[in-house]
Amino acid sequence: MTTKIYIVEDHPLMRNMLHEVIDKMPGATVCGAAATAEEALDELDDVEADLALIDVSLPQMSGNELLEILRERHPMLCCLVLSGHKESNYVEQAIAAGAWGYVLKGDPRELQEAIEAVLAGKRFVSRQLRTGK
Amino acid sequence: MGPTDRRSVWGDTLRRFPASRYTVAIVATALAVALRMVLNPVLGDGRVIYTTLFATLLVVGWYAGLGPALVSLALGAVAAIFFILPPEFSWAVATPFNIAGLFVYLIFGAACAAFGHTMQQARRQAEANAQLARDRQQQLEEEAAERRCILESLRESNERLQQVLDELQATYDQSPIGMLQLDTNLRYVRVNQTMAAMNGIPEAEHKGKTVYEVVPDLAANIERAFRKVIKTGKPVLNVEISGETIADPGVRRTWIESWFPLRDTSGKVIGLNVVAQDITARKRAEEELLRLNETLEERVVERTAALAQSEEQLRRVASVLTMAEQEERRRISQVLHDDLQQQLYAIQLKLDSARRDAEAGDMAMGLAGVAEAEQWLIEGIETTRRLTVDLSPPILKSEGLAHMLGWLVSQMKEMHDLDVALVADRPYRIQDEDMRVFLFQIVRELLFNVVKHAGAKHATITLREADARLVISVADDGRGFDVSQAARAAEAGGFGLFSVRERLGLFGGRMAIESAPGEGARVTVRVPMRLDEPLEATGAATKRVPVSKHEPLL
Repeated sequence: MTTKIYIVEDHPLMRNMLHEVIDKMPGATVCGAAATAEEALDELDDVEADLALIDVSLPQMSGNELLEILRERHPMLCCLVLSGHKESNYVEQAIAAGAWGYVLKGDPRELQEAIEAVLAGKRFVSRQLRTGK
Repeated sequence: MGPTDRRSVWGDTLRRFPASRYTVAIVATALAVALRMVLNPVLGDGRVIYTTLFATLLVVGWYAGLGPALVSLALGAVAAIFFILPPEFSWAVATPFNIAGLFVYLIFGAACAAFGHTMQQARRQAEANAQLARDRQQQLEEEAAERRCILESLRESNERLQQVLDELQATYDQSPIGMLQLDTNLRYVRVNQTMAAMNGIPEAEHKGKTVYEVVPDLAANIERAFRKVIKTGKPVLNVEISGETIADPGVRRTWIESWFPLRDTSGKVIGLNVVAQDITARKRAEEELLRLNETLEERVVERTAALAQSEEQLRRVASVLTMAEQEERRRISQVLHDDLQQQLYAIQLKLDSARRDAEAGDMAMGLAGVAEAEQWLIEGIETTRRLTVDLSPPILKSEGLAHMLGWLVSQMKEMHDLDVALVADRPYRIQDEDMRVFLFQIVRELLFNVVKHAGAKHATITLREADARLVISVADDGRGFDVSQAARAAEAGGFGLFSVRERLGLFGGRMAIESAPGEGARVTVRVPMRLDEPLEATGAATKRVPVSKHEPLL
């Protein structure tokens, strides 16, 4: 069974690259992508996504706000936050808003690991954040 | 020693030793008898028998006194009977004539003795009287000398007293303090020159006049004080009174006065001594000082308020600057995170993907990925370059403000698609780099406002010099705004134009805003500055820049 992943990332280059990386992951495919939270909310009603990969820093509505809305509208949707911020408060806020995992940008292996963990119903936080290194 | 003195010595000796007086009498009598007997052949028997004895009696009576003279008289009578009267050397007396002669001798002899004695007493009395007269004369002379001394001392004392009185009078007259003496009817007895000058009436004309005639405006106060002195018998000191005098009509003067009771020898108050000092000048100075103090307090309040306002302005400026700095940091952070960081993440992912392709044997795909990553890397480098330029434009090193603004004009077009015209009649070289950069930032911020709020497509920057001030105006053709509402928003803590105004104030600059809804806006900045450069020969210069394809950073 193929896991359908929806990408919410404002930077076009990064969005395209995530698309490419995920498409190369075995058993995973990108079912859609949006540059803003508003756009994502519109599309997610129509797209049956298994997992939403959400950048926490979005231009208008933030990633956390999107998470809170998705928790109400799509409670079965797994949400994984993708972020460049290493500060613990970002992690705490994201988890509190409904994220199942928090993965740092940059390491595609860890991204794959995070996607798999979240889809398996486990919490995931980047190793760097857990160990502090 | 003179004869008188010798006689005195003899007389004193004889008086001191009574026996010697009688010895003298006996010896003198014996000598007189012997002398008569010797002269007997010359004088004849029975004739002039008692001559020498009479002489002896006179001498003894003179020198030795009455007693020895009587002894001499008796011895002379006995010696005459025995040695001289016939029969000689017999106690018998030959004739009655001789007896009568003897009696006559005794009588005249006693008279001679008494005469001698009396003469001696008279002489002594005369000497004593003369001595008394001399003593008295000496005493009188001494008394006269003493009196002369006393008179001299008295005269000197009088002179000194007069001198002291003159000095006192001079002091009284010339004292800078006004002095006067009143009798119990409040009539002037005397005044000094100062008091006369105060009252405006000559010194001599005071005497006999009442205070109501001389200083009617002050008389009631003086009488009140006088009654108090009379009643209590004690001085009334340092009372301040005010009023007018003939000396200075129409001008209210102030004196500080003290009243002292004047008493006669029995202690009865017979008048009043008054000292008065004109303190009008001091009073005015005090009032002036008071006024100045009040003014000073007002000025202090004003200055304090101005200071508080300045402090508030400074605080707001500091706050604005801090916020501006934070905003700048946030903006830089955002640029780094949203742009450069994402590019780097993408490159990292691309390189990882390319490596996986290569590991899977798809070298062509791997190389294509690397090439793509390389292109993204070039864009990332361009991003850092733009960020660097934006943070500190190299154009700021240029001294010409017009040149700097020309670069800004091109940036505004490139980044924000805003057409900006620059009008400048000279390069406007500004040596002070801080001022230069400050003015550049001001114009940049005004243009940002145009971009963010005006919705304008065109703007114009004009540089000119007027009244030793550099005048920069930024005008746009945007939607405009209500200036009073904007001012209230600024007062409420808004930033933007307010921030510009506050920072301008630190350099002594001013900012004026002209705008109305739908009519665009013109912001004019005036900064004190003297420019020592000629006008450009071409006059106004206008520069327009092409639109850039790059994404704006700011």
